[in-house]
Amino acid sequence: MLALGQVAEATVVALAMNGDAAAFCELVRRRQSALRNLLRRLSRDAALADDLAQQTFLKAWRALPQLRSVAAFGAWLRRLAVNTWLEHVRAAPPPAVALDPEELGAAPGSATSPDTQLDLDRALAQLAPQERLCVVLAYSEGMSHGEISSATALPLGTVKSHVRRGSERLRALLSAYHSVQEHAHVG
Amino acid sequence: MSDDLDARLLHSFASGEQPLAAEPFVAAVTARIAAARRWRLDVRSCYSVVGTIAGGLGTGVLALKRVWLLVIGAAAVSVWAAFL
Repeated sequence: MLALGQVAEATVVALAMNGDAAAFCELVRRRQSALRNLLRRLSRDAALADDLAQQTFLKAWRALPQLRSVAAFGAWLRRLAVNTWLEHVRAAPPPAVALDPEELGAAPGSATSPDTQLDLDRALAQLAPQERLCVVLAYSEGMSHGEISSATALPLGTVKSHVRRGSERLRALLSAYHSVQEHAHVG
Repeated sequence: MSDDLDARLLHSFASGEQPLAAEPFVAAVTARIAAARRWRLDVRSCYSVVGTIAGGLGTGVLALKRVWLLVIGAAAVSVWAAFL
């Protein structure tokens, strides 16, 4: 007999839809990392992101019998996560944080260093919630503009504009930070 | 994949993805699901108790002429609670 960990996801989803708790746990195990990373990008707070991810899986467990197609599970779960985050933002809008490149002052590193990730996260925090959402879904999740529009219920034109302007802003913030780093390195 | 994406930003985003340990998180989700189930069972029990009390009042204490209405109502509440 196959262990759940070796079974194709469509089968596991079908089992979970019929109330199989072990199958649902297996889905949580498979999807948790991607979902938590997405919510960490959106919220910039690991504890909050994990709490929102738990809420998302709880909603998924309750609503799973209404899922129309097992193949749609991934996109459906991501939409639940996005809606959970949006509900949280509406209930408690995060305070705007001014980015001061001097304040970061970390040692220069490679493009993949933790410092760079910190810069990216802080730069992301400068974007408005909807702009950040569109940028993260495009860059982190690899979603097309149309997919983002249907996942967030934002008009397609708004999504395109958010992704374009958000990317420009991120580039500007990151290059400002890198120039400060180079300046500090030379000095 | 969205078109017109900046290659450097794509690289920064991709390098930030880290696999996160599953087990503590799965345990936390399982605990929340179990708590939610317990809460639903409690609500179901409350409805059942209300139904039983109403039936008891109807048959024993009040001795109403149309007691069968109360009995049917109590039974209906109990059945409804079972499907909550």
